[in-house]
Amino acid sequence: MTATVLERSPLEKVGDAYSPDQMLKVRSLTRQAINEIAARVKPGMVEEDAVDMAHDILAEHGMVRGWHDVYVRFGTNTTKTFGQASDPGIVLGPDDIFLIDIGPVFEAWEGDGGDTFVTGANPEMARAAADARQLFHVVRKKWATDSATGRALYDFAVEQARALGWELNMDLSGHRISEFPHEAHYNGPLADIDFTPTAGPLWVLEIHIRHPHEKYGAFYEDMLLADSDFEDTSHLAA
Amino acid sequence: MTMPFPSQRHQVTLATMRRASDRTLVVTLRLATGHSFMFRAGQFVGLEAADGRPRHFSIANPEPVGDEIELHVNRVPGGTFTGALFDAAQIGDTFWMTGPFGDFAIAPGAASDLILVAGGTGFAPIKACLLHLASQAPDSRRSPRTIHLYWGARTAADLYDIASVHHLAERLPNLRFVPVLDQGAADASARHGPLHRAVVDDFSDLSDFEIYACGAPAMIDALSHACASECGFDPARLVADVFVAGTTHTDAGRPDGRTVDLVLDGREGRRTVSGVEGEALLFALKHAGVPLQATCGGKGACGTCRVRIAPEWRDRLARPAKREARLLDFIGAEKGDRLSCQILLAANLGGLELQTPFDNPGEPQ
Repeated sequence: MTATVLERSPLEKVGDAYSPDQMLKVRSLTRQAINEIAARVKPGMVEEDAVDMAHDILAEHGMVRGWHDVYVRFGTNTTKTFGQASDPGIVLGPDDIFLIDIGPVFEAWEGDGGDTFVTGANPEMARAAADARQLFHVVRKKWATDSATGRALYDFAVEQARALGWELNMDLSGHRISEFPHEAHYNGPLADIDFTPTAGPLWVLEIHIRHPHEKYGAFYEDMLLADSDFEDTSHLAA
Repeated sequence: MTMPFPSQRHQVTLATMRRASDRTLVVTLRLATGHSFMFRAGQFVGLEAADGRPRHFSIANPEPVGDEIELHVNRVPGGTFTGALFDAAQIGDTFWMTGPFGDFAIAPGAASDLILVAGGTGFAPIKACLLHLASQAPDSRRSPRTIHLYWGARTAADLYDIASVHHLAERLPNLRFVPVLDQGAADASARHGPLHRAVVDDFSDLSDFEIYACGAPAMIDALSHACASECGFDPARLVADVFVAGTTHTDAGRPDGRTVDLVLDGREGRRTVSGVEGEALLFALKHAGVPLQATCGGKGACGTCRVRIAPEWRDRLARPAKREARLLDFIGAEKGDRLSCQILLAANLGGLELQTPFDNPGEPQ
């Protein structure tokens, strides 16, 4: 048997402070914070107040610093792409949709995560939120089973989103993560890489879908990890 | 259903270049592969500068796509990328381009009248969308809705593509064009004053309108607030393409305000650089080549754009807001330290003295 040593791409470089265990710990804190923020977002809130509240929650958990800003987006602002300013003064309705996207730094390590929630019974908004999560896992499984490259993963994601009737926002197409700041190693999109991203807490997969005609969308984001790092996703066949 | 085109990195060649005004270049780029570039009207691309970071520009022509894309480039005072384009670029030069990006588009089938507001080179994506609209079936072009186009610039000469507006007016009978200038004497050919005032002065009730706006954040904010507070406009019906200096959309988005001198005391000694009224101190420093990291892009989240304000200037700045104060405390900032992304330059800050960058132990700078 011949052992093959696989060289990592320079784009997967990490610094001395990098620690997979610490990255997973930040991941856990990030998911907890997202759920805590979501639980405190209520209809009638103005988006700017929700963002303030999210900052407070992150600070309570020792994540004052972020490598990107905190986004809580309501209603029509859920179509906005990363970094884009929200339209001001949007109030969350009783039958509405909102998303959360945070990139906290805990001690020396970066987290990143996002999710989408609905406040009422609008079936299409609920489907958007569920489909963003499902697409995340379907694309992740494609990586896990086919060793797909970053570029192939997002080609696949575009097709899968289209099949479900959504437009995939390719501005949000995955990226590196590491000890802070990951941009010292590679600041480009996962969708641009022509190799298979390494397993382990190095990459983030982002899925931002938008309704083709209506002004809402949904977002789901987590680290690119194996099935064993998620709750049972066997029902999400690729 | 219109689907997005995956963003990719392409090598492009400078095909044509025209000085449309003292401050604006109209350039066309062609894929080096000879293939067509697929995008939607209203989207933008990034051109990689020598520092490896992209500068973003809206595409001014619509789909369906020919071999070339048209970009409108505003010269940024002190901007290395736009400066090189204006002063040194030649036909045949190659660049790396990423894209297409963005979701700015005029919604098909909108029932109400439309208001389009462009500040400076914010005209580019609006031109693309209007050309797209003009290419649609004649029935839709003859829709009873009126399209009110407001294009703002400093002077009439800065309305650098007025011929295209006239051309569009011939193809779109319901297009009403309002040029708005913020310099020069008032005359019958254009309105004078802030761009947003021209809009709110024309409409007492905007509750039934959609507004599409492209330009600098300050213009978009002023427009949104004025329309909402004075004309009953629903801000949810504002579709904005915000040009943020140097980071996201385009370095054409640097404010057009007056110069504000800044005195830097850094590792390379003492020197004076220029900022622009209305822009964040961070971007003035980056334009001056100060190596601030600003990982979060100037959002006040990461704390890597810290500067130290000279003692005599500290009281002249607005006090840090809650989030900035909390982050400064968290990163162990000392007296006089501020996040440069949170300081907006104003006329009363002319001569501001500061130290930057300085070593922050355990913190990248």
